[in-house]
Amino acid sequence: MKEFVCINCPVGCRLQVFEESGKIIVKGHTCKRGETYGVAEYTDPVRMVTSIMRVEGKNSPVPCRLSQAVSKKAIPEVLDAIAKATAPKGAKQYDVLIKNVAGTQADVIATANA
Amino acid sequence: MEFNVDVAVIGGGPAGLAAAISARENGAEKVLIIERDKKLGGILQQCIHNGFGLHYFGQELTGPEYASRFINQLSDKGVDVLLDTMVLSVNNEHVVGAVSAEHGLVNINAKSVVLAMGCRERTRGALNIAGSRPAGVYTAGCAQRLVNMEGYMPGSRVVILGSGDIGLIMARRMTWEGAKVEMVCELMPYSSGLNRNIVQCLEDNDIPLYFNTTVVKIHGKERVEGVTVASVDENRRPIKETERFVPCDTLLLSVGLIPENELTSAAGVTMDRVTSGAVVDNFRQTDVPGIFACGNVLHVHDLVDNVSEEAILAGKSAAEYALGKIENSDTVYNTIPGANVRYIVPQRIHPAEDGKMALYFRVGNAIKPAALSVMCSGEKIASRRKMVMTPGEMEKIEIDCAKIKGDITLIVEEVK
Repeated sequence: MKEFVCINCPVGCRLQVFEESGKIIVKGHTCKRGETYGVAEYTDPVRMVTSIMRVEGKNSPVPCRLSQAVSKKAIPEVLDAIAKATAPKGAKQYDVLIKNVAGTQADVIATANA
Repeated sequence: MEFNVDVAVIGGGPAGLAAAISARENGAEKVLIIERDKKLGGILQQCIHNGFGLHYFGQELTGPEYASRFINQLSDKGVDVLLDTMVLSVNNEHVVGAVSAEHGLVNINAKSVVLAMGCRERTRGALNIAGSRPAGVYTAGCAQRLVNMEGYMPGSRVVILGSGDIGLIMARRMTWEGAKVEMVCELMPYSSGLNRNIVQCLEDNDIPLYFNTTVVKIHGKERVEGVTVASVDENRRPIKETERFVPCDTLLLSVGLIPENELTSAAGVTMDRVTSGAVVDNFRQTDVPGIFACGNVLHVHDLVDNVSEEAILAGKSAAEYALGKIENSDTVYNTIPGANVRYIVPQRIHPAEDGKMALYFRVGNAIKPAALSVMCSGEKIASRRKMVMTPGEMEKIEIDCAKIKGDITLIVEEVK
């Protein structure tokens, strides 16, 4: 059994999630969103990653995010790829900076003009 | 240099941007934003994490994206902007005095003024932490700007004091940029930050969070070498026997925000001692006619979405005042915080015959489950129940204007 605090609202229900005869059971939730969250956290928790990327010829970095959330396990590799990359001078908001970063299917996207 | 405008907006963060656009949309011809930074967007530009705009845009944006949604509208809407310009004074005749490297001394004659200067972080000086004065002590927001905008790392081994959302967000940012965050200390027995941030910023990165704990001393001469932390008793006084040394080179403080109201008080506006912002009416007008306030300079918000909503109202009202359309009835009622309610914005209301009016408020402590009642002349004119109300979350209730016949009292009680 695993325990989680639901993050969907300030109530913060304490969830107990376990498997019983091949089915994932969530206890402790008070709404549907809590149940969905419990199952996702138990099976494969996903997270959005936001960071900054170095820009060619500039001191100030450009902020970036992923096009979609990725598995929590992939975060170190994603961060590593972002840290090693350099955005082109004049990159614009929503330009793709890295395609399919660390094989996650997610792209790294600029969230502002460089 | 002289400018003559209908509406002058002081500050180009989320509040100022939305207020300026709203003022133009509501008929003000000349609207000018005065911003002290070199670019618009305010604090949103350093908040590179996502989670903004869920209420206002119905999707999760990062700070820079949320800001650009407004900034991109400015030229279409015909809003003028003065960047790198610091406002020094506002008076009750709506003359705004400012200074900039490009224009020198600037005088702006406005028909109405919107105050949208935002807030400041509390610093080490406000906490009286003992010890020397080494480098390496930053407010969390200052570190956030250094890392996310300027491209500097403030340190490599970090202790964070305060578990508000900025502190939690910075715990993750510093970790993701390669620093080791030793711990987050929280004076109170609970965090004012969102559950989501406790889970995704601290637990995901194995950063311990200690409640009832504070920093009592900072060590180091040139650079921070460590801090002494201690548990506190029920009166929040440090317990000597629990003191322990934690080696680190950086201390980040996330210990509260204070509305930045020097200009407001100097203009002669009456202030609210609880919010540290101006006393305003339902148009977000202060008691100096033609001066309006919105956003974190009025009261500290937890969601930028609420700032935008409030600023749209303030901008509309400022436009109407400039056009001579705002009708202030002489009758003014007060909104009175009752049991468990810490403050209410607006503090004053002008009665209207129809429509709805929203009151924003915070509770003083966590109430679970909570029942809210709005009382007016001994009658309950609105009520609502909620699973939980916490001090960290601003609440809103809408009331029918037709039912307002006198002062209004808000009461929150625990459902037994």
